[in-house]
Amino acid sequence: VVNQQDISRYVRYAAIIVVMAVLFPARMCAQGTRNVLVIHHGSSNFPANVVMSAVFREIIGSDLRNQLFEEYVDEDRLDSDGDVNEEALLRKYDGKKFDLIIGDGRMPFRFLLERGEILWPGTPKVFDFLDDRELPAQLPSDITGVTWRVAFGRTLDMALQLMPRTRHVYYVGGKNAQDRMWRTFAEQDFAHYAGKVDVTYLNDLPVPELMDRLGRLPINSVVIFAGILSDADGHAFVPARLCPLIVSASSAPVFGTFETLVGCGIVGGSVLDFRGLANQAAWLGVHVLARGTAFGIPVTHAATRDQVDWRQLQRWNISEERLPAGTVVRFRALTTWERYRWYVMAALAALVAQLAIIVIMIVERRRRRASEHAVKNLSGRLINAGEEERKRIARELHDDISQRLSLVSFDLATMTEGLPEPTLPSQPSPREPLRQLNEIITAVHNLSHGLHSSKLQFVGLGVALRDLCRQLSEHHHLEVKLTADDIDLSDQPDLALCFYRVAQEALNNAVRHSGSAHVDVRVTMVDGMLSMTIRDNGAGFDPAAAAHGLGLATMRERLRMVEGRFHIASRPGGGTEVMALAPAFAASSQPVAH
Amino acid sequence: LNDTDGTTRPRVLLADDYPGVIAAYRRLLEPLFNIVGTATDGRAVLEAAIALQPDVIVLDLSMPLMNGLDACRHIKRSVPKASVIFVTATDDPDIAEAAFNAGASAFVLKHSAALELPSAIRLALAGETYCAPFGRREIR
Repeated sequence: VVNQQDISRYVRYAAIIVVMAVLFPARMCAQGTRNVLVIHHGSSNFPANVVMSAVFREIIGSDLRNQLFEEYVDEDRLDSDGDVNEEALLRKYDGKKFDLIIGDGRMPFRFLLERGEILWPGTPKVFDFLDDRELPAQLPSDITGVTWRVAFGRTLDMALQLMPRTRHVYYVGGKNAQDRMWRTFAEQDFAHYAGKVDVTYLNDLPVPELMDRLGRLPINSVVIFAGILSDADGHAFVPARLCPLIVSASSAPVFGTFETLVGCGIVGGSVLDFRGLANQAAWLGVHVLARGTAFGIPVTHAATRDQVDWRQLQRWNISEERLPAGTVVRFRALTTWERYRWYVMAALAALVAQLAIIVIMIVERRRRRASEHAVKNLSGRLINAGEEERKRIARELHDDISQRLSLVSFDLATMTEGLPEPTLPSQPSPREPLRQLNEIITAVHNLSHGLHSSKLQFVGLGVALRDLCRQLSEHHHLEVKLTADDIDLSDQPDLALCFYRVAQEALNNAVRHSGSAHVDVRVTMVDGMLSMTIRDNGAGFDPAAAAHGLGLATMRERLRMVEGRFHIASRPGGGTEVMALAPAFAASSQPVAH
Repeated sequence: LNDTDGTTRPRVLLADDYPGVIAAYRRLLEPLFNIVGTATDGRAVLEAAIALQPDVIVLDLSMPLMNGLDACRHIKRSVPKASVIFVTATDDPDIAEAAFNAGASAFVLKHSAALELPSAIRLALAGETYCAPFGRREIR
């Protein structure tokens, strides 16, 4: 039973098929195969043929509709004037219809020109690798192609430019039809150099003799190697294979006209690039296939290019500066620099980066030192300012207040002199105010002395320290023992004050914190270094924990200001030793006015 | 150089950087001695001592340009016959010791100068020394 749904499905399929048949007839026709016959001149292992074949397959064969047939005609190997074996070709492709025939080289071109229209009427034809001087004045309408021109003249130009002392030119060629044609063109080109150089044509020799001859060339010679397809003995050659032998036999540099020879020992030349030529011909073929005819498509021309082999330049000691502008230099050996450039650059970049980091660090360190210096200077200035301020107040007290009080006392003493003592014990003595005033004067003086002792200036460090030690011993429960050399620091009041203040601070610390019963103070002068050691055997402390204490910092800073060093050694329970060390100059024996 | 009275009273040079003090000394000493000059700094007193050749020089300890101790040392070298008497507010036996070591003949405290200075001068002229009693402790 056929149900409704199945019927409608078949109807839909039928509709789709009809629509496709209507829309895509052209597409279906275009899918027909197109046959292309390429007739190469020479054996399939000619380097030039290898290149040409590869390019044709790449460009023409990329369209899958195109089917490529390639024939290599080398009948001239059997007979130097041999021609395309028409019979063999016809037998092979009997009844095959071609859409395009490409003739690659002189012999296939001549074959197509003479027999093409008869054998494959209506089939368009393309030729390539034909010297334009061999092009007939009138071409059949359905044939087009790519010509070139063998550049003997330009190659000789290059040789003369690279080797200006050249006087002799040896043309090396072969004996078959193509070889003879090239010699004809060479003669045409070299005619322009008559008088400048003498040209010898070596193309009638068997290759062994030729090699022998090339080994005996005079100086200032160059060889132009046109390629030998067959020599005087009828031996056929592949020019690119023969080239290295020619070069090694020759005593003069060899130049050539085909790119396939660059790398085979020739110095260089204005050479034909087969890949470029094949490209041009292949695209021409594609164009002709698309149009179905070669009619109206003009013949194009492939230019030669100047090329040299860098290794041969080195061998013949030729400077690159002599090369014509635009010359392509091949096989250049990379110099050490070129080879390792990126490694060197990377290493340099790393070095530069390192250097930059070092510079930045140095700059940073300088800045930090500058700011540390500024901080130190600041703390030094603070200490100085404090010292100055104490001095000012002390002087004010001493020079003004104290003087005036002394004057009052002076007058009071004068006034009360001779006054009788009171008769009753309850009455105050007239001299009591004087006594009280003198106590005030002593207090003011002591205050002034405590703020800034001018005593240091008058009696020297040793005496001032002795007084300091005595006062501490008297007022606290400890014995401060001073051992001091007789040191004259009258020239260095700053140094004396520094040591006095350090001693004050260290002794005050010992009194307050050590709990020690004995403190030793030792001041010595050895070899111009003033040193002071204050040692107790009390509680001690951890200097690291107290490193930021203001007292220690101030002592350290005071020493720094006199270019000295401050050292503190202490450990909990192990007592404390404070050491101050600073350079002192030997004071002159003469008292000096300040 | 001559005493205006024509007498042969001892010739005294006064030095203190505080003019009020000099005036007070003058009032005190004028009746007793021949005040030949005054100076208010250490160098001036040294120059005056050389120029005036006084018998006694009353010196303050703290003075500008050159302190009293240094001035004393120079004076004792340049004018050995002059006796130097320190009058100072500094109540310190160490300073007194330094003063005597510098060649001083007497050490008097300023606030008791009214009582002690004239006799200290007389003792010095007699070739003796005098040291004021200190409030704090004895001179060693």
